[in-house]
Amino acid sequence: MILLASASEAILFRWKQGIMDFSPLDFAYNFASLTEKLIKLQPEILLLDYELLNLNSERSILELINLRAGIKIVVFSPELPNEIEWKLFKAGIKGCCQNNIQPEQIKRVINVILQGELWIRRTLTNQILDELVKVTHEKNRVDKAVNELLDNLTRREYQIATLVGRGESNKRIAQQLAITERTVKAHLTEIFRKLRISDRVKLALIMKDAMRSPEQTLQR
Amino acid sequence: MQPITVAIVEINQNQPVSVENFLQHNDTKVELLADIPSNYDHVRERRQTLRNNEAAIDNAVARIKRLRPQILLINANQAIDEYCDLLFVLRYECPDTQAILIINEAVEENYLLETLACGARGFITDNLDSLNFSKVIDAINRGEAWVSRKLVGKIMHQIVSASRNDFIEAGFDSSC
Repeated sequence: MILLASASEAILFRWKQGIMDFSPLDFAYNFASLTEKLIKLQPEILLLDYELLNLNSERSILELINLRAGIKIVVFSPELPNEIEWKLFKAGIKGCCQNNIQPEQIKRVINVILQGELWIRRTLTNQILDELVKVTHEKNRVDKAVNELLDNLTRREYQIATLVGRGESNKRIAQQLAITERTVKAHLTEIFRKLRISDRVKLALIMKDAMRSPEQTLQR
Repeated sequence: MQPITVAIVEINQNQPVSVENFLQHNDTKVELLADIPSNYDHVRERRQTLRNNEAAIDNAVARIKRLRPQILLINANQAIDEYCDLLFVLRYECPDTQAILIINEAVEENYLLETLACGARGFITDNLDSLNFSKVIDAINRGEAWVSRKLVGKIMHQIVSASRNDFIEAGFDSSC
C-alpha cells in the first residue's frame, strides 16, 4: 500500500501517473487525515508533499514514524537547503525529490527505496560520513565511560541490571534471584546512583548496549 | 585548471596497486605525487611488532603532510586495522586531504564501515577503469563521498538509530 499525501490535486495526479504499476494507493489531503490513514491503513510507503508538514518539519516526520513504525517516507519539495534536507533524513525519511521530478522517475525512486536504499543527493553523502564519524566517536566515548561505571557494580547489582536490560519486572527479578522485591528496589537505587542515571529505561538501554559489547561480556 | 593532486600510501600490503593504470593517457587533470614509497620490505618480515606498525603510520603521516595531496589513495587490498589509526590521525593532521581506499572484492562490508567511521571518504576497487577513476576523483574533489547507495542506506540507519536513542533518552522518564 502506498499513501499519497498532498493538498494539491495536481501534485497527486502527477505522482499517480508515475506509480500506476503499484497498488493499492490511497490519498490524504491534509496532515490530520494523513495521521488517521497512517494508523488505519498501515501503508508501506508514504509520498509526502513538503507543504503538508508544519513549520517544524523534522518533528512532524518523527511523529509520522512513531505512528507507523517502519514507514518509508519520500518527501517531495521545492529545492531545499542542504541543512533542512539533511535534518529530514536524520529524522528518518528514505528519500527526497524535487517537485519537478519526472513522473516515470518516481517509480525508480520507489524501487530503490523498497530495496532498502536511500534516494539522496550525492552532495549530502559527505555530510552522512561526517555524521557517521561523529556518531561513532561519541558512541565509543560513551561506551568507554559506561564500561568504567559498570565495573563499579557488584556481581549482584550487575545481575539485576542485566535482568532489567532484558525487560524483566522487579517481581520477576525477585523470583529469579530468590530475593524480595524490596531488596531488588534497594539494589536498583544503588545501581542508579553508581551509574548516575535516574530511571530503569536508561538502565535498560545501557545494559542492552553493554550486553552487545564483547568487552563487557568477557569481563563478567 | 590546476590538476588534482593524488598520492598513494600502503602499509603491510602484499599486492601492489599501480595508480598509473587508473590514469588516462596524457591525463592532465590528475597529478600523481609519487614520493610515498611502498613498504614491501615490511612484507618480508610478516611478524612485525606493534612499534613497527606505529612507525609505519608515523612515517606515512609525515610524508602525507609534506606532500599535501588533495586525495590520498590507500591500498587496502589487505584489510588491516592500522588503516583506521592512519585515517584517524589524518583527520587531525591533514584535514584537507580526502582519503579513499582501494579494495578488492574480498573486503568485508564491516571493515568498510569501520574505515568510513574513521574518516575515509569512500572506496574504489583495484580494477577500476580510467574513465570511472576520473569520475571518482572529480566527485571527491567536489566534496562528495564515493560510497555505494546500499552502504549509504546502512550508514544512515545507524545515524537515525543513534539520534532516535538520544530522542528517547531525552523524552522518557520513569522510576524504580
